[in-house]
Amino acid sequence: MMTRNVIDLQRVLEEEDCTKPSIEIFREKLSGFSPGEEILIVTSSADAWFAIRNMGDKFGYEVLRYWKESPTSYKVLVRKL
Amino acid sequence: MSTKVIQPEELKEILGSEGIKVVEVDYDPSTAYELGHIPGALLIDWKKDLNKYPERDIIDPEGFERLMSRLGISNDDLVILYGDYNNWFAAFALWIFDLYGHENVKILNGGRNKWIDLGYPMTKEVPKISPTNYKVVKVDMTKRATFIDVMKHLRDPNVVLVDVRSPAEYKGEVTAPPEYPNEAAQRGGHIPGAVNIPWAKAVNEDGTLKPLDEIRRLYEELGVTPDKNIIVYCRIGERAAFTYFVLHHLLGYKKIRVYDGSWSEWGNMVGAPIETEV
Repeated sequence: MMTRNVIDLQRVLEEEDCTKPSIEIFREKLSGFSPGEEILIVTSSADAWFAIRNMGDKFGYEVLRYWKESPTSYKVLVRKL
Repeated sequence: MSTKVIQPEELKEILGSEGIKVVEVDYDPSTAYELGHIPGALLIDWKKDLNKYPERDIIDPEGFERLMSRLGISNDDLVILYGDYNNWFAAFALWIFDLYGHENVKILNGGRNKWIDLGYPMTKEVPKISPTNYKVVKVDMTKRATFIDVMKHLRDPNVVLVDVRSPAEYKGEVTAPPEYPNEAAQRGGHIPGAVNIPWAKAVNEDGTLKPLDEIRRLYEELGVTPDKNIIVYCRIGERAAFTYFVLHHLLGYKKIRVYDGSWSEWGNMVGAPIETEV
């Protein structure tokens, strides 16, 4: 895995004791990247994983790969458009 | 586990059966139901369908009748609820079903999260609905607490207030993020005397319910026992409804009420007493 850009949704939720939804955090973090950059998104929520896989058109990215690493770790690799 | 809980594998087997209505209850359908849902599932949009406008209140019995009829749900249907946000809003819907006497209702263990985790089918297809003529035949508001009810029982040794929010919210360090302007509070903290038992203590990491013995021990050790009158609250009532589901339907607590005004009412009310220390 060569991607250096990572959005770890679980870590943000824990560190900020956040009551924000994962998708909102994802949208905010994604806005900090430039077109063409690849970003690896890590989440412990299968629901958020499913949403991120299906929201590329809305948020402006393409999904390159997605996989379940363990029962509480899900990943999606995207490229910002 | 309780008869009010259905496991994902059980639901998968009975999908599409006569007399069973599966309903997804979402806070935000645009990031959930609209992207994909359990085949045949209907949608309840928590904000639009379970709340009144313009006043702030839950839907009344007539509103519930209209909603059920529009969704094609009959009085004798088994309704299986699940949803986004760890089933919080599904639990809120179940509480409304309790208030309006629809007893044949269950919660899908683990909600959307567990269903997706298991790799079970999802679809974007919206089911065709034949409207019904649903009638509310029983109303039970003893499961609901108002601001006045809570004020009357402050420091009452027979009443236990359970704040199910996160410790940071309980301590007043967090009120509501800016993304939720309708949930903002002027002040942070908790209702005096409330014990903090976050809703999440009752679930595993994947959102499924913990074993009942473990859940029972958790509440009893903190003085939340079935002989007491329990009032649960959170920020807008949805996490409180989840804990209501756990205490009432899983552990069999009878004397329990949801204060659905919760912190978005208490934390804005002039003169309402507030504690911030733990």
